[in-house]
Amino acid sequence: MKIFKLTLFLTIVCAICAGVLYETNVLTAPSIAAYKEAKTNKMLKEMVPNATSFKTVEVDNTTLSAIHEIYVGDKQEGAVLEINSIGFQSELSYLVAVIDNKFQGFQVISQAETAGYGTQITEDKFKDQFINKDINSEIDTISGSTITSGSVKKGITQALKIYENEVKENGK
Amino acid sequence: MENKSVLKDLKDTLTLGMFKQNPTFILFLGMCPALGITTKCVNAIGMGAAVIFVMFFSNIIVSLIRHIVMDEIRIPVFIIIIAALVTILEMGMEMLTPELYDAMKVFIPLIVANCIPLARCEAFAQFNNPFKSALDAIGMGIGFTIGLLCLSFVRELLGLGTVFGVRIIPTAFTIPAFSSSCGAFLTLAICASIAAALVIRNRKRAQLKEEVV
Amino acid sequence: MKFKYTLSPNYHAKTSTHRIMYDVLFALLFVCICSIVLQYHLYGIGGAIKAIVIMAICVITTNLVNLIYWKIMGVAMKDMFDKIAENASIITGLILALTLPLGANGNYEIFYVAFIASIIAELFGKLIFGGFGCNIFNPAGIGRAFCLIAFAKVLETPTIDGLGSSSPLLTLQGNPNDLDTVKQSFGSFTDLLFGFHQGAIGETLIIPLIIAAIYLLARRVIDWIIPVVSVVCVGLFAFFYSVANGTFSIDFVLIHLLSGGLFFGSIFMLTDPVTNPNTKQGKFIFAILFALITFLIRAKGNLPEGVVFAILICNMFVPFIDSLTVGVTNENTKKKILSTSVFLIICILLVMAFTLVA
Repeated sequence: MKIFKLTLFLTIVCAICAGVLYETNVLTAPSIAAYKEAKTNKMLKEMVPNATSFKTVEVDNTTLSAIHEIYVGDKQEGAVLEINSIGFQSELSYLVAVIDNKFQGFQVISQAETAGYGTQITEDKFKDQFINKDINSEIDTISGSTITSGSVKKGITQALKIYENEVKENGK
Repeated sequence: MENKSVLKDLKDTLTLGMFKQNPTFILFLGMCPALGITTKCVNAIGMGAAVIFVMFFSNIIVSLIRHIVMDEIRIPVFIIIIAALVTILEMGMEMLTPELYDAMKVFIPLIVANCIPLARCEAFAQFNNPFKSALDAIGMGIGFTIGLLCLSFVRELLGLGTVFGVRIIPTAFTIPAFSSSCGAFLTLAICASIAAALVIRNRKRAQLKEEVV
Repeated sequence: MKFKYTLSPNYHAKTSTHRIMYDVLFALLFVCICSIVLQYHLYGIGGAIKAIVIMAICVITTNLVNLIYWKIMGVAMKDMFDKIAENASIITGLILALTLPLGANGNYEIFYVAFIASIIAELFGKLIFGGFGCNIFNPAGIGRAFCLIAFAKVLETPTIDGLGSSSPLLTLQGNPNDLDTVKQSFGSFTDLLFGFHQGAIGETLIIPLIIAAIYLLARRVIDWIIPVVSVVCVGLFAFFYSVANGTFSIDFVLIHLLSGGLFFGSIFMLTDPVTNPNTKQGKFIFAILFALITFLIRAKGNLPEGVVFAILICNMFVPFIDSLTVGVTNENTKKKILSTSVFLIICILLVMAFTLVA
């Protein structure tokens, strides 16, 4: 009898909480989604200033999570790859712009690496190598933060392979 | 006479959590955010405000249902209430203050495991009326914020050279270790020992006062 | 007959903590002077002055920290000199100074590093625990470890680009299988012995360190077990590791033995009587454990130099080692030798097993 009363009470409390949470989610979800999209768009625009719009294609892969196709007017000029990889002590998430078989930009979305070492991937010294660089040439890693920059290099190499396969499949 | 003692009682409830039973340095509750989030002073303020919000509502709600809740099941019920409030807070922050939410994304779910809301529900809100529980929540929350501010002041000053973003020490003289967990433990140890020294000194003074009287 | 009545302890020999500390100080000063001469030979008058300033900063800061701390604790000014002398802060300061490198040429950040490290070493390494004799960890070790965490960039930049561009161990970490590149970074093995390469100002001069060690052994200030056993064991582990790896060469063993802070750490930092095990067998185990952790950090860990952290970890293990070895009677000598040898063999097997780890 006691067990029955306890279970009933707990179920009622859970139901009330779940109901309140559902209502809050309905209220806030649109604003949150809009903010996320605005943030990604801002980053993409910073990387490729002369693009007029982007089309996002979701990819079902742990490394390459999304391909943002760059459109100047109606023509597709290239794509920005959104890549995730595991760094030294946190998950790295970054964007690489690929236009005409050349790297044209690199931007870190989120990381939590060791200050002064792994965080060097956010500095211009590392990012500058991605301007006008052929995609088949070797990416330089940072001495002193081998694991972090090596993970970025591996992630980009893997993502490029997947992206090339996707382009071949879609026949573009 | 009675009014005075009631007012004093309320004042004591409010100020208990701020200094005499400061949750960070005297009760040693809520260590996880205290060590993890105090790299910048803004984080401390943000976390403190979030915890005050959660504790305020959780204390009031627990105090309202304190006669209905059955004894064997009280802890799961408290946790469910606290977890629901934290999720509401998370969604609200994501909508209203997205930049601050991005900075504190990892630590907001940890407020559920942060012992302070649960400890105050269990020790205080269960046995007192909603008004006093609300005061206790505010007091403990402010005490927690004071603790976080002390830690983050030292850590930001020594580790980054700024206070609330205003540069005080040039970058060449900063000690990056204080921004990492190593410095967090060191700073916590020093602050806790200063707090303990103050407690002992006050106790000795109170003893002397008693002897004189 | 004249009887002298004195209270116990009735010791009349001159062995006392003070005398031991004076001997250690004398040996350290000898190493300091050799190091200054070496820096002068390598980098000219600028290098020598830099070395002197680093040592001066460390010694002055540790004494200042002592002064302020004991003032806050309420010690009267007239007792202050005795109190500071009792804490042997000069020795801590000098040992810490000798583990720091010179830093980049023309860059004076190393002075700030020395200053902060001395504060941390003295305050968190010794004073917080209660002063001399009460510390668990080697205070200079704590200061140096803090430097590694906080100021790693400053410590790693070479003094002159091109003169053996980085310390041998750093090059070894970058090219674990390419011994020729490593050998290029320091010239010949006699260069290693005399210290003509990059590194901390007290760690590179092997021959003066050996002379200082012989002096300390002759004065019976340190016992022979810890320095000898730890160095021999690092050599053993390097030998067996390279054998198991397949890339055996005597050069690998020699590089591991003669570079890095191994000699300095085992002679001056590990033999600190406060943080040592009490028994002979304990000291053997302590030294073998130190050698194991040093070699593993160097070979498989993220850091090029493992001596400092190995010292701190082994200091942590000392109460445990004491609880195992103190009180066992002398009649079990065979059993003690057997158990220590088994421990050594297990360590060697562990090192060989680590070659399988990526």
